Amino acid sequence: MKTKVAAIQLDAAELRDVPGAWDHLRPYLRAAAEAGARLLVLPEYTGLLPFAGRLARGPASSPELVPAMQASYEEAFSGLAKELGVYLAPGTVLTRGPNEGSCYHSAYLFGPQGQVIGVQHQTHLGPWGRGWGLLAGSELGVFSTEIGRIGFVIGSDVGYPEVSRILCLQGANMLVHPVATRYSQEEWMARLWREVQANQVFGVEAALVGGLWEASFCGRSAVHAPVEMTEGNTGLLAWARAIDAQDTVMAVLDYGRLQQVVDEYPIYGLMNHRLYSRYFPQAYEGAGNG
Amino acid sequence: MIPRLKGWLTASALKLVLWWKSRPGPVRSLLAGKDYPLLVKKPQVVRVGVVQLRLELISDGVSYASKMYDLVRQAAQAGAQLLVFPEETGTHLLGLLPGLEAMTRGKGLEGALAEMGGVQVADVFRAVGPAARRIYETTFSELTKRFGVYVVAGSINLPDQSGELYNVAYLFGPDGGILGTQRKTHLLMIEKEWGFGAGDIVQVFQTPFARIAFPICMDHTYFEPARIAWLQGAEIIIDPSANYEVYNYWKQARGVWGRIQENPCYGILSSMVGDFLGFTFQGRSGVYRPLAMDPQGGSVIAEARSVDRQEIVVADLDMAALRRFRAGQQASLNTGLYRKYLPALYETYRQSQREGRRSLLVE
Repeated sequence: MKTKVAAIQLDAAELRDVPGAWDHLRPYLRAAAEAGARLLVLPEYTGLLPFAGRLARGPASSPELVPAMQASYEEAFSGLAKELGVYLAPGTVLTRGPNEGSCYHSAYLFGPQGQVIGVQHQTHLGPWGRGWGLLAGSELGVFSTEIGRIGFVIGSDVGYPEVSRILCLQGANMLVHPVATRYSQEEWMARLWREVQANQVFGVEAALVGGLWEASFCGRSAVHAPVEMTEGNTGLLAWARAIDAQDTVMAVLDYGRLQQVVDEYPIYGLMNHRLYSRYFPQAYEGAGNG
Repeated sequence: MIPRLKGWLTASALKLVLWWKSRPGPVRSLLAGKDYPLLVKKPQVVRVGVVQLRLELISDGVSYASKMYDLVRQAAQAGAQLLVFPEETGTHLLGLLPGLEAMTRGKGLEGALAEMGGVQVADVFRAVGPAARRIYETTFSELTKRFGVYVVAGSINLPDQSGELYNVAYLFGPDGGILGTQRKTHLLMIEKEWGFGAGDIVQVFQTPFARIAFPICMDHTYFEPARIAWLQGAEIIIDPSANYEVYNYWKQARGVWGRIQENPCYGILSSMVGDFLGFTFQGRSGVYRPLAMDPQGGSVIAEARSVDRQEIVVADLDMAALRRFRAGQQASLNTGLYRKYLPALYETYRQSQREGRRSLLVE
């Protein structure tokens, strides 16, 4: 089975504090859908951009802000997914937490009927999330669809190999990575590229470029696969032409070929369960703040 | 061709030959007569010498010790305090077996053994293991004592008391003592086919300049060993490696370089090179830091000039800088998340596999 995916590299300026921002995305999404992409992925912070000015003082500055942001995101992207008949992972948004005033940094997956297939909360917060006092997610879910079993690795979650491992042990065969970062080739390889190789799955990385608050992002959106499946063993099926401009990166994921690669050298089949049982989870005691 | 090879491998006569060839005396005599220049040590900075070693058959202990002396001396003269040798450093000593070189010429080890019928690669390692161990341990014990250095002496394939084979790396200290060993925990498919056992411990060793760990080669394809090492306090994560394929930058980056981007530690890769018994080994030895320590400077502190030649990479590791970096890293592990899934999820996954095959297909 093969499926085409699209990672949409987005310039923050297109949506940042722009009224009717979601309509600005329609041309990119439609073009990708018309080119045959069945999954469209947008970058980290996509859902925050139209509210950037209000968010500059933090989500707690206004009790209506996060609910309004979440509702706008859900309505807009449910509608777009249904309109275009695609699976849509429209980057991230802030979502309400269980207690008054609490919130998460979250990624959604919408289906072709506009339904919410799943929501994943970021489990390892970046500097903004920690500064805002967001909650870290406590679960990692895999969302089964007819185009793949999808796990989200949100932004800074990619620096923690436990996240991708837990997702892939639960059956994920595609890691979706909405990200906003700074690009260098090493930085790029240290992120989703590394996790795709470690777990022998596909990866779809959508990067935000441009300025947001005090930060400036550049990145290289890409579609990743195990090196054996790619020209020159680079681990890349497709990548953005520029690191500082809008681009749409598309590639076909060939699950049959992925299966062949894994059958030829099954990394998971050579795991050492005795070792892991000896050390986990007690090795983490006293480390971190989880 | 050695007739009735399996019987020969277990014969008393061969054991006697191997015992004689592996006498410590000649090795110690050779090394006692050598020159040992003094080192200059800087506080808080450890100079490492990473040996990219060419694998070849060596038929006696004196020749083995002589080769290792030259390399340790070269590194020590450059000021190295911690030296690293690659995986299979002990495998030179398969040459102790009389006639092995002739038998394998043009066929490789597996090809030659296939013609013998009933002889396995594991039989060969079991036969030569005890003698190889004596030479390997004597050599590196003498060298570390006389040069006053620490050496991760790569690895050697040895049978344990029950006869099970393990790929084992050693750490020798400056008094010549064996500070500890590390068994390979994640086997290659070929090692599994050969009947090797896998270790289930990740050791971290304290030295005056740093805490070090040395999971072996394929271990670094998995995040777990390096992560366990860091959680136990490791500051330098070492990869003694022998990769039997043509070098590729991207493929090599799947190993210890990737693990250093996940854990705030220095990384060292020591690669075996050369054509040996039907295998071609290539790799670019290197010394790495987490990219976050120096985003502008990059993650490569030093690396070999070649991927297929013997050479030594020397680099300084600023332990004070690493410790400042580690202290500045906000503790951000989500231990509650890990506790929820690990290690139970590994077992759940294993039980879910049909006939041991992982399905990546979309059904």
